[in-house]
Amino acid sequence: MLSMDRRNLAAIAGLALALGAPSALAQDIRVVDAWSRPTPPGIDVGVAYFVIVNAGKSDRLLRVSSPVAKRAELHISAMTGGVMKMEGLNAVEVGSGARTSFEPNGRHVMLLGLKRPLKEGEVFPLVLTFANAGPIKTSVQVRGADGLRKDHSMAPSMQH
Amino acid sequence: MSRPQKLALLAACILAIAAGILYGILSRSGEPPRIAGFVYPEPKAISPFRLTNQDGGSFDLDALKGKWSFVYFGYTYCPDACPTTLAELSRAHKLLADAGLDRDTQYVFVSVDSQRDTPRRLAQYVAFFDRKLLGATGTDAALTQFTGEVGVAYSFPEGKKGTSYTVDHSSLIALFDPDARLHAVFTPPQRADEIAEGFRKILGSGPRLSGGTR
Repeated sequence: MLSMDRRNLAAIAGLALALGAPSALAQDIRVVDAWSRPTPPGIDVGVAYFVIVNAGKSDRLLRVSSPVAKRAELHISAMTGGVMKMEGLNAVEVGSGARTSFEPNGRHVMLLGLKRPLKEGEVFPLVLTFANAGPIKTSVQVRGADGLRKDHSMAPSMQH
Repeated sequence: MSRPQKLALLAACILAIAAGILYGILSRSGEPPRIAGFVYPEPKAISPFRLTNQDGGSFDLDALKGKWSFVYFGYTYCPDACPTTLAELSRAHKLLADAGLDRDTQYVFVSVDSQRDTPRRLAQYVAFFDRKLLGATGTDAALTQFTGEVGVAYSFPEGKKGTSYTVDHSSLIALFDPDARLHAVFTPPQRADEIAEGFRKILGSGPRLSGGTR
């Protein structure tokens, strides 16, 4: 297992160097493409989706928080016998060298007790706390209700 | 019977069987088209039911008649599956409108969570996704009967309290034909283009295809 991790690490480091991307080594875990949907009037629950790219050692996402909501929870929607069940996740493993997607009809962050409706075009912060990497802050772009990007400008998706 | 005669008879038999199979295939109108879900071999009649629409009026079997109805089941506090599916359904509506196929259609969101989803709340919710989207909900008894016949299952967590519970539910879009019969089901993950394409196939395959909807 350990040798596997080392090999992956070496491969990724080599790839990063070959591509001339020194910053890939500076940050082991990046959270990219974070987005959300606008919320209908009167609804105080929302969602956040993103991709965790882990170029470092295996880690675990322990919890999430955002100033726009009283609470943020890690959830997964899963089909069981034709029924969509939403279940809470205690933590999410982010493997070394893996891309871990939070996406519609799958893993997602549920925002509870939104302090105000989320509006298309706005950006709000989300903090993901990992067991080893600690807190990583990302900016969540509120897309259209259809989940499609309205413009092609990328929101800044990662900052410490 | 001589050998050539036997051969000729055999050939005739084979031809007859082949023709029979071919005729069977060509004349078989009940062959359901393939969609992202399934089409009922025979449209399924639904018992009369009575739900409440987003304006507080009645939403019943008659409300499903005269139009093709896309009916999705969920609840408004649902953060992931419901907004995802309703957004795709709304996009499917746009695709059908662009193709001139939406004149005899309607779109309905049925909430299985009438405790939280009042008609007023439903009205705000459905308008947010699509101006043509209707909302409906009802008593537990009415919902149990209707969802049961459509094949939608749902359940509430034990000891639900307050307003912050989630609901397990079949995340499907049921398609009713203009005779209010259950015609097809789109299963998750529903995508707008697949819904629109599936509907186009269903319209094209049935005897019900009316002028101008091709």
